[in-house]
Amino acid sequence: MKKNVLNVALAAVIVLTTVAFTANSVEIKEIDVKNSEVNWRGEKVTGFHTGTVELEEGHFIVEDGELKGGEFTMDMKSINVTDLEGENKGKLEGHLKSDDFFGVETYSTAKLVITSAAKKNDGTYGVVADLTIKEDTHPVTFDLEWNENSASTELSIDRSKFNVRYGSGSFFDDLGDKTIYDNFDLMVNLKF
Amino acid sequence: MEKQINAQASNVAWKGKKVLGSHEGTIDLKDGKFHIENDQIVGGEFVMDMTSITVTDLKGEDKAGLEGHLNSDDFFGVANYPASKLVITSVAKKDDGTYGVVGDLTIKDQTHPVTFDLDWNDNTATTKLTIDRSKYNVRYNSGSFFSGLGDQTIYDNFDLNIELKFK
Repeated sequence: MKKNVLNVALAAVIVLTTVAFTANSVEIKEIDVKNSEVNWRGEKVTGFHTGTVELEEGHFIVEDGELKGGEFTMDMKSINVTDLEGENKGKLEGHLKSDDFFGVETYSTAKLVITSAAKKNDGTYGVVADLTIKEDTHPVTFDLEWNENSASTELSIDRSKFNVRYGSGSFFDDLGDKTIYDNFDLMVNLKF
Repeated sequence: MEKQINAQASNVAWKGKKVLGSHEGTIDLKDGKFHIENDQIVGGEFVMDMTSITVTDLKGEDKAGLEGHLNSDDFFGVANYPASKLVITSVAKKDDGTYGVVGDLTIKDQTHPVTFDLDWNDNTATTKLTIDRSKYNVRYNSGSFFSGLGDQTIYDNFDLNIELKFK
């Protein structure tokens, strides 16, 4: 009985020490959204388009110097097209914001929550996250380059999983060369 | 006109990533051809030999272990599904001279559209293709099928680097 009490006391000390140690070593790295950059590229059979979208807010969670988590919110109303000008630019931006694509009036933000991260041998992090676009949530995975004051990644997203249907061969037959690829790429540069 | 692929001289390299690392290897093309009309690609058909999956970044027991696992029902179940197939359904030339291609890809009897850009040369065609294995019932340690995998997660997307030589 005495031994049990001692064990419980010892366990309590260990738990408290661990909690205290962990609490001390957790760091929230807020993203400097003004100086961070998210570029997108979408391909279709007969060409492609490029542009940007703005980060609303974001942070990484770092424990004992290791990346453990993070949360990022994109402002979907900020979708911008950079490879067109004038009327064509305005038209494509309007189309991307419409319900054919991202329906930004209804779904004004998209969100990424890191659920798992681990360092590979080459120093990059393998990351698993839940991505929510148009209220559909699916896991995504990507490799993240991690530096002192910045982090960068390239991420391929399958829009067909998030109900972004326009010109997608996963929803419509016989699109032929009107097909727009399901995968679009994000080139992300984050500054802390 | 049909342009037959020289399967022996062609090369298909794959790369698969997981949270904690990556692996790579090759797979053999069984046969393939492009359909050409008026000097433009209008179609094509390609068959992969799924029993030829090879791992190139490991050696000995580890190599054989991973190859066996990839061949098993956890991944591609090659005893039941010895071939996968890509049939081009639509092609158009882009301004930069590459072709935008839409194809139907069949793996494990599941067919889904895939899209990719194809570089077309005199005697070769090359492309990089990202495939989402979760669409083809290739489930092992996929976050699309299992929860709580954490850093044991293997990415759903794998990449193919393809270099086709013509006969």
